[in-house]
Amino acid sequence: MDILKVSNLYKSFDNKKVINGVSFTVQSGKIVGLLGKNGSGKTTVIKMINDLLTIDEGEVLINGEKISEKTKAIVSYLPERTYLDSSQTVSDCIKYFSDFYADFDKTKALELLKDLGLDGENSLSKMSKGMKEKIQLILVMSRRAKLYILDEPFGGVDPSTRDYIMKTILKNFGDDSAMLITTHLIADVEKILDEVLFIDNGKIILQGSAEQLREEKGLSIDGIFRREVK
Amino acid sequence: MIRKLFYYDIKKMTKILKWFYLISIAFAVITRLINIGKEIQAIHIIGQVFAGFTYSAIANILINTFIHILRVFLYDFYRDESYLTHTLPVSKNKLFISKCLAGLAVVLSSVIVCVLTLFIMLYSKDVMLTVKSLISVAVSGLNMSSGAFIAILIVIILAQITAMMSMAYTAIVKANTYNRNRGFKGVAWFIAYYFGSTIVTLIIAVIVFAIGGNLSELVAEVMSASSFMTVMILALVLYPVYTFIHVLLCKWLFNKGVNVD
Amino acid sequence: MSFGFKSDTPIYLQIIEHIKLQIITKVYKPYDRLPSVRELSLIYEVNPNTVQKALSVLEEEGLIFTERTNGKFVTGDGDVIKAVTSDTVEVMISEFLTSMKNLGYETSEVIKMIEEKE
Repeated sequence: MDILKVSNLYKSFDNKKVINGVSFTVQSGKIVGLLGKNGSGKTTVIKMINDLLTIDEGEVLINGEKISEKTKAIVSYLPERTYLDSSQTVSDCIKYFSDFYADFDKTKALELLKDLGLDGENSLSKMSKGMKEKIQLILVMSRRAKLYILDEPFGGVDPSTRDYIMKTILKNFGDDSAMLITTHLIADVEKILDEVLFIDNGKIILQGSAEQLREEKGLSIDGIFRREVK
Repeated sequence: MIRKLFYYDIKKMTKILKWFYLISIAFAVITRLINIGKEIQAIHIIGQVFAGFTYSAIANILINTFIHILRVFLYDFYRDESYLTHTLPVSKNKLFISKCLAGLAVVLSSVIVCVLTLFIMLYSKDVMLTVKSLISVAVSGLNMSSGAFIAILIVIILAQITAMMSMAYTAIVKANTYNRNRGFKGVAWFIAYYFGSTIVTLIIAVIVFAIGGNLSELVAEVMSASSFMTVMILALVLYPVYTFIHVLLCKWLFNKGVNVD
Repeated sequence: MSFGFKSDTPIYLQIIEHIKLQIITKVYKPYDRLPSVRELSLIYEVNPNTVQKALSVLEEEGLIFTERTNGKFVTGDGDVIKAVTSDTVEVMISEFLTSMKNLGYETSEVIKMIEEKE
């Protein structure tokens, strides 16, 4: 079942084409990697899927439907930005998510926060950027969503944080959901991917099953990427 | 859902404002208390100083009301927070309507707090008498009670503020349809909407007075009662019309989708 | 746990090898319950589907079996384990001999060297 279907997507900024006919699907139960260098267009595609950019041409279908408040209810999205209001406390954030997302599992979120040594009274303004990003990840992964979209979850983090993020993702990813992860740090992520999409200059230049590609080319996904994307 | 949105919008818009409300009222109370002893010269001076503080607190509220309503609108829809706002399972329509209603409610509460502050600081029989006599001069010939006159004035002021807010919202949405220089374009579009509507107002006023055959009154230093009435009616009709047009335009632009940086 | 995967071989094959080795070396004894798919995916830091695939191959080979509600268990059949052991030993020896050959040593020389070492 295609939980996400992107067909023939185009986007220009000031007459400069940044997305040039991108098509792919993400099936339930799969973890898909959208892999590309900085500026290749991965974040633009992700933002179009999340209604943060208008679509010039093409179509995005989520669970068979056009983007709407209904599809947003089943998508859990982690952007690169910290979008949490710094004047809030941790429990304010939790209340906000429980107020708007019917699939938000409050108990799970509190547990994950406790593992980090945080309780509700902690104020975001006193936290480091890295800590805020972890809280955001916890909020996103505590939803029982059909589709998780994580944009550069490993960008600029130290190895122990990388392990923490990896474990949080794997622990909380449900069998009946799907995940789309973008990254340019392919070696860090490739082990958890079912399928890979290489994006370059706003186009998908290679896609397939990660295991099959390794077998066919005798190289790691990272190795293949370095060869294909110059 | 819209009730939750409204709750959070109000909370964000009044996050700092509520403290300014408190400060303003506190200054009014202090000034009032000091003025009990205003027969003594030194205390009188202190009272004057605190009255000054109170007036600046009122100005502060009015300025910050605009800033915070517009800031929440801009940040929630176009800055980092927009990554959360636009991915909520809520329609764009509801997001928009909630921001409008919350903005209106905050404008109202700020006006009420300002009036209350003045009332606390200044209320006395003498002051009320002075105000009454001032109004009765203005009302003479208008054929209406002082109460009705004040009510109409307040409605006109609110309608004017609301129209300006709707123009500012529209300018923000319009500016964010461009990819560059969004801040500058926002200001430019606000000025364009504001002067556009001012020119329309002038043209309509000229036409109305020309039809009435008293065009000269429009530029006269002292207006006759009937002309004054006409101006008030024009304001009462035109400001809501401008608000309505801008809200529709803004909503239409917003529903076409956003391009967040 | 950091698990050094070789980059050029499918990960599920490497997981199969690793689990086999643990069964041979009695880290997982006969009738032991294996960690769940999710636990294994966390141990290896890989996709749960990859673990699933590795386990189903192991099951086909008869090395593990599923008890419907309780999960996957190591087989109690000593013959199967023996067979896997000798397969693995064979693979290791031939890999070793191949690399020695690459270094320029014939099998007979290698045997001699091993005997001398003993």
